[in-house]
Amino acid sequence: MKRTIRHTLSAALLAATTLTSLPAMASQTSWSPSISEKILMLPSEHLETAIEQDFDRSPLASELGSLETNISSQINFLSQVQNDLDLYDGEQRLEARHQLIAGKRDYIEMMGTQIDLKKKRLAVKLEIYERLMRKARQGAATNSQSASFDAARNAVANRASSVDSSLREDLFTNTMMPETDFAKAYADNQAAISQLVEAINTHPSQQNTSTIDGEPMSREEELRLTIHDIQSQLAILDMEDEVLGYMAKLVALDAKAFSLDLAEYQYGADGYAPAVYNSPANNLQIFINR
Amino acid sequence: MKRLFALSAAVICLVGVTATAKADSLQNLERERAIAVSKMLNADISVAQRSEYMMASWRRLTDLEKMVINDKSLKSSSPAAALRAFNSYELTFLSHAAAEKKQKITQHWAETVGLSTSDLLVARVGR
Repeated sequence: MKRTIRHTLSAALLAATTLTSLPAMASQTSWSPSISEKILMLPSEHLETAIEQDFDRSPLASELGSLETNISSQINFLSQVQNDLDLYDGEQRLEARHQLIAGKRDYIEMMGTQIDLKKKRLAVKLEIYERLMRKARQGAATNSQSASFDAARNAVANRASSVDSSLREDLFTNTMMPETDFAKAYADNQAAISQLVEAINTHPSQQNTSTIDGEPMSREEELRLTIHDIQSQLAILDMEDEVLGYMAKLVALDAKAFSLDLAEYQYGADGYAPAVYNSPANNLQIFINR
Repeated sequence: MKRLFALSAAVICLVGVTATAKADSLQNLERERAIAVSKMLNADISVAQRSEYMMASWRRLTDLEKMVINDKSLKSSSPAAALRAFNSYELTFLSHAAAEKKQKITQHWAETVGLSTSDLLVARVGR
């Protein structure tokens, strides 16, 4: 019995010492993304889905999934032990308390590992988005040149189309000749293009584009906001780490209190009484009484 | 000989418009415009001949201008020349710009380059 209690005591002290320093227990599993910059062509919501799908195929995702299952069962176990604690007395209660402390230690270890894995996932995701951002910036630099060209061309096209019908009439009345084949085909195609452009502009998918103050958001802007979002998630994980640190401290204090209670149980309420050995002075009477 | 040359030029021009319209739409337009301007300024032809030629040229210029406006390849093939052409709309797109002012091409071109009747009346001969 005493031996068991001594083992329990040493285990509790070990738990206390390990929890205060809580080493990073991150697993070696990783996520090597296999997506290319071509996903930039996807709409923003599909881009996020593509990245998440790539993550789901990684060993890191399966590790996180199994860890989540373990944490859930550990929480159930801890709740049950905590609820049943009052049902026990004496040695059984000590054993239950020990299980509770050990269970809490395991929970904190698992949570620490999970936070490390979550950070790893977010770090890779951040890297992907930063790579996409660099690509988008390169594209934007090229696009700004072509955008000025397009603007000039569109201005010309708009100006020309405003006189298109009157020009056709003038040509017909002045030359008294039928339209050229090109002019006929041009007019037909132009009408078709106008209808299609209108259909594109009123398409539901076109209405779903992200906007800032009513202005459509650029891809660069969307990526910047997503990167900001990932960075805030990383900051939250840092805070969760801190919460876990306080939990560990509390468990360490529990373990310390438990070890004191164990000692009391072992040596009684008066505490440890050291063995008393004989001294010659104690037996002096034997020698002097004749 | 002169008629033969003019005929060949017209044939080459038409072939140019139909065969390489897409690739060289801007060059074709510039060529047609240059021919039209040279006819406008040609003092050797009669008023009727000039009018007849300008009517035909007007049709061709209108088509060629539309081709240039819709030619997406200009962006990669000759962006600088195309931008220059777009930015001087009044002189590049003679037919459309003249229609805006409800003028004939000849009148529009002359006014744009500063050859209005009043300008000509106050002009002095000089060396």
